Amino acid sequence: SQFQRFLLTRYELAEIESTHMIQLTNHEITHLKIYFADLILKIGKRLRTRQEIIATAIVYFKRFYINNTFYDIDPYLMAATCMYLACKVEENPHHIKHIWSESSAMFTETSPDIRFPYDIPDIAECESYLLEEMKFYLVVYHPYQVLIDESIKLSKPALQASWSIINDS
Amino acid sequence: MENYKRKREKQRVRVRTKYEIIGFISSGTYGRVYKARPREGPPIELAIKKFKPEREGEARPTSGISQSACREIGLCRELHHENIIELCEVIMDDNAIHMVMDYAEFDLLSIMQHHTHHLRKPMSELVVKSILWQLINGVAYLHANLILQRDLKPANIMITSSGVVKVGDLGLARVFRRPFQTLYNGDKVVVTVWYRAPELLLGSRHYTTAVDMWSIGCIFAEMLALRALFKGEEVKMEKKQIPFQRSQVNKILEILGTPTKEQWPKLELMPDFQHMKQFRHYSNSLKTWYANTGHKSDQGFQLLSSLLDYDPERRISASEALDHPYFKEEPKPVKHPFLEQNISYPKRRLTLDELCDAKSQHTKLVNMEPAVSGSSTANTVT
Repeated sequence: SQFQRFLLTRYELAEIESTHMIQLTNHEITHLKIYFADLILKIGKRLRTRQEIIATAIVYFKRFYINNTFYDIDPYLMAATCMYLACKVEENPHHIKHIWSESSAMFTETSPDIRFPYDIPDIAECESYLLEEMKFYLVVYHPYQVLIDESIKLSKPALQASWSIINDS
Repeated sequence: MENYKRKREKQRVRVRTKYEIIGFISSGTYGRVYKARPREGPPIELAIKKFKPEREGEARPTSGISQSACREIGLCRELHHENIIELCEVIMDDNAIHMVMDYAEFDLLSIMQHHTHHLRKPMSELVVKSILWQLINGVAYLHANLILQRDLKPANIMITSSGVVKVGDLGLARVFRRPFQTLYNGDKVVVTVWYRAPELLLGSRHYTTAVDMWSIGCIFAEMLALRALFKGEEVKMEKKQIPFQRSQVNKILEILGTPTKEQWPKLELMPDFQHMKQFRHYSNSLKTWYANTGHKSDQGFQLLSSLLDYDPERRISASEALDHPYFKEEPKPVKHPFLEQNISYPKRRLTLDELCDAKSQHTKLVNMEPAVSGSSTANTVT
């Protein structure tokens, strides 16, 4: 399903994003995406989940904001929700309370004077929107295993470079 | 977010706008299954599985979708095979997830019960063989995609009116490649007890596709004899301790005999091996059992015993089983056994009680959307 539904070319993506640009510039969108991918990574680290689950969560996040702008749903809430769903799909579930507390801790860390404005039902509700938006296609393929299998043949710098590329997807 | 909600709400397709609910099929812990028909397009029959909203009465959700719904939807979305139930779409309506799937007129359990209670004669060899082959074919596809079904039993094997097998209920299924947690930690108990493989009964932490093959062996035997092969009594879980299924193990030993070290080299390494000492010694009587069913094919017996091999490492795999000589000898398996043999079974009964229930929910919808639901009420009543 990944191949059939979610692979967009650079031009298709640019076209969709241009519709979002009424509110944000191209640059800002890119920056926000990088910022939130990093935020998801940090939440993932706090939960001590594996890289692949974090990668899935980031993919969910990006899939959601293909057809929606950052004004539609607060990306902070969406980031937490993506993490929650990714853990479930990748068979390493965390209690929703746990996800919530780690996400709000993360939030306070980045902006100390504001409280994380969402509660547990918000995450659960947001999950249903995320699921719908992705049309319930949940399995994400990551090429980590391929890299591990190929790793013997690669030189160290090449391996490091490919690893970063995958992390970036 | 409010804006988004409104936008989303507008895009939503209501289940009842798109499909007409014909009747109620069954219910379980997960929710309810209905039979339905699309309002537009070709007149096909579909099954709609409606997951229960987590806690009824609560205004807001507290934990999102369940792990089993998540698995079933996630996996079914990717799987396309003629012997696996096809998921057509998923709709969010009324705060519940609705899975729209292929409809199958029968399931293997209902067919076997019909043979026992009404026809009082066994299923013909051609039918048994065709169903078995298709079942293995579906499971081979799952295994090739690194998925364990983990709950194969007659009730989960759907069969269409022409006799095409559709493996259903992937609520316990999961991908087994590189698990982040051991399979055991994820779900402590898997597979309905009568169909549970010996390595699971002996507490094995790691298991393989062989557990599904054991279940298939049990189902094959059940089709031959029209009663479960190992009908043990389940010991209920107490204080979250996983009990040893004494009765079930005993049933297996009675027919397959006490396993020897040669038959199952790693037997002694099983966590619950010490329980094995409490049983008396049995010898293998599967051959007599098989002869008593009235089936004569020696290859059939060979296949059955390879499926019921104690050692999970030696147990026949799905792809090997498909090439078994049993399927090469007459009568050869066919794709639509019921059609060819002109067999018809009574159709699935659709209960009306629950339909009324559906209707009462329906009236609620009518209040909200009078234009759409009005016509369907008349249809549901007839």
